[in-house]
Amino acid sequence: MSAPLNPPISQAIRAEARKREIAARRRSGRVALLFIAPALGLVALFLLFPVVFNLGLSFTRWQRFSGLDEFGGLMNYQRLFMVPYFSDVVINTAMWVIGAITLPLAFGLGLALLLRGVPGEGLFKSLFFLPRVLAPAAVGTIWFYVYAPDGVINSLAGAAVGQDIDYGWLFESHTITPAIIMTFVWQTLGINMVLLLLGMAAIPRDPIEAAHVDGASSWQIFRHIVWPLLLPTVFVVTILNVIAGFTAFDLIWVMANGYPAQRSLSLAVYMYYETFSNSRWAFGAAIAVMLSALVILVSWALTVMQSRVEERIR
Amino acid sequence: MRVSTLLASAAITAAGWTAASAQDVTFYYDKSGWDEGFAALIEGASEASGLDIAGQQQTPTDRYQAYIMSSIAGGATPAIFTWWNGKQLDSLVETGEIADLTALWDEAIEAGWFSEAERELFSVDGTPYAIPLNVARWPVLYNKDAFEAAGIEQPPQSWDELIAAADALKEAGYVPFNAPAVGGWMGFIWFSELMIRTDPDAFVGLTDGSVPYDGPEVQRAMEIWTDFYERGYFTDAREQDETRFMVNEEAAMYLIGEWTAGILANRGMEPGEQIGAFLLPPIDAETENSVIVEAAPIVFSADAMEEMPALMDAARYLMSPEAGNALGAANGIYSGNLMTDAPNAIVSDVNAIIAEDAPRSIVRWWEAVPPELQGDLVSQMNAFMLDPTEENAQRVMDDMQALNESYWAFQ
Repeated sequence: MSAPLNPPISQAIRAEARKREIAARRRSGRVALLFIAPALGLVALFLLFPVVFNLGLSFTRWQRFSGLDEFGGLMNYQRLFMVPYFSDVVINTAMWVIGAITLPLAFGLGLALLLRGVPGEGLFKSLFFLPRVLAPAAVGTIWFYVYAPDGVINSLAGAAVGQDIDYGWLFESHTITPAIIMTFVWQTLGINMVLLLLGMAAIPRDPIEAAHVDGASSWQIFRHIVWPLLLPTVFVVTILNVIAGFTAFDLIWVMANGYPAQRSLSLAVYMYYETFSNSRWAFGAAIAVMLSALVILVSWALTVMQSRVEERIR
Repeated sequence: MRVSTLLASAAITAAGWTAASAQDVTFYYDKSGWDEGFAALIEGASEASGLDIAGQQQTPTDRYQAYIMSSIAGGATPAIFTWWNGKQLDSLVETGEIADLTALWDEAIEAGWFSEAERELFSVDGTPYAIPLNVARWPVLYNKDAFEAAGIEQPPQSWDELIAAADALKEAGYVPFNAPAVGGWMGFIWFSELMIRTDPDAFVGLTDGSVPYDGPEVQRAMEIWTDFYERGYFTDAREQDETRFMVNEEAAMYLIGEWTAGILANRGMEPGEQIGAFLLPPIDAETENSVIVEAAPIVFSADAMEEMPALMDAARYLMSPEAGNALGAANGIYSGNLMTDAPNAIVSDVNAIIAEDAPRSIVRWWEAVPPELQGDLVSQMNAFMLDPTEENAQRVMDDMQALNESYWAFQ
């Protein structure tokens, strides 16, 4: 009879070693937890708690001085659909999201392609990026006067056609939102351009040079090589633009406060308006819940699309 | 080292706490541009009461209101603060946190400082809960030179005379009325005025939900408003400088609170010399003569009043002619105290008109309407001013009524 390969004494040592390893892991886990505890605490206090509190608020009757302790059920959510101009709010928000996704991206991409390798590229990039560093409230104030009846746009248009034009871009219900979106585009296309230029810089040169050698046109190179490889960056830019579109506030507040007949309201501005101007705290909370749900839903859909596209590229 | 740092922090905190405790009362307000007047009022109230009162301005108005409402909801009602009368005061008083000032008003009326009319402006269900910071009537301010140039000898006494004056002013090259829609709130001015000039009771009914915003009373006011636009009686509502057309003498009349006289004076139009005032006449001879009154109340916490009886002395001072004169001298604001000097010729003129005609005082629409409806409805009125057509008037009335119904359905 031969001796066992693993004598009992060695098993005991191994078990002891495992115990020590587990204890060490637990210790290091506790230390790690200790390190991230302040951050976790802050997130819980300033993000998770307000989100849960806001959700709870949306089911109360709180407005002005009272109602915080009264359960209102779905009252605030129902009320939203009774507001006569709610359809305008939804349409404006949709216009903002579509406009914020497509226009800065299209113009930013166009500029990125145009400026790549052009003499003075750095100067042009700085110029186009400049509006991004201005406060939106300042931008809104400047553009309010650009769009004014006696502003720059009407003056230029008047000079071009040889007659006085005093069109009120921000005073007409069908031009107010597009006009403000164009201001947003002016301010944000610079950051879109810079992000896309960074994405382009990360594209390997080899397939492009190979395509050149094979006689591919610029459009074919863009369509079949640059664009697919740029898509991950495009998705990141798109998600940022979607969030910016849904939460657009400053420009609308400054350029269209009260004009005309709430025809410029987006969900984000409407939330502020009901909460702080009308003191309907619970109703404002319900709008915030709806807005957050929409942003999360659209961002999630885009993230899923992004990962599928990335998988296909791989 | 750590212990000493901790001790130093504790000492600094304690010093700060002690300094804060030395402050007896904070007087909150949101009126920007009245700093000099508030400084004078606070100094006088501190002296009269022996309390250490400090002023605290908070702007903009929505943030100020949010602060006050959340303080009250959290059981920390500020001791003294400015508020709004009408429905705004009603809902504030409903909290049970505001001091009843009946005794103080009895004294003030007996001393001849105020009349029952002013007391009514600051009362809820007959009990006064506030004292006046200011009282402003809404006359038509007019350019005397323009009237002279148009051959108008005296302010219009009837609706027909008003129309004749407007036509004469147009003929002389003036736009009859300055009517901006700047700031998102001015839309209610002409709407309110035309309502009280056609049916003052219906105007009051609008504010309590008993009269619809698309009923015949409002239809009539909107028809007149549309007609005035068709006749070219109003300036471009898109103008962002609210007094520009008056100051550059393109417009001849301006329906607005009498406090605007101070703004015009600062821009070179001297009240009394270049600017006069009159009340818009009723449209029908049988309609009751009335005047829109805007009143800014000061309220006191019931608990603070109980804990610090000297606060009543501060309140008494704030109602006094001395306080009224101090505010008038500092900012040209009229406190409504009958024993004060009129801060300018416009206030003096309006006082004389009211003494002679004794019109019915009607609380301004902004204060009279439920606060939750203010923004929505005035925005519709602004929208009409930007597109003053019959078609848009109907849409505005329909939308206002839909908003009105939606509000009352949830009350």
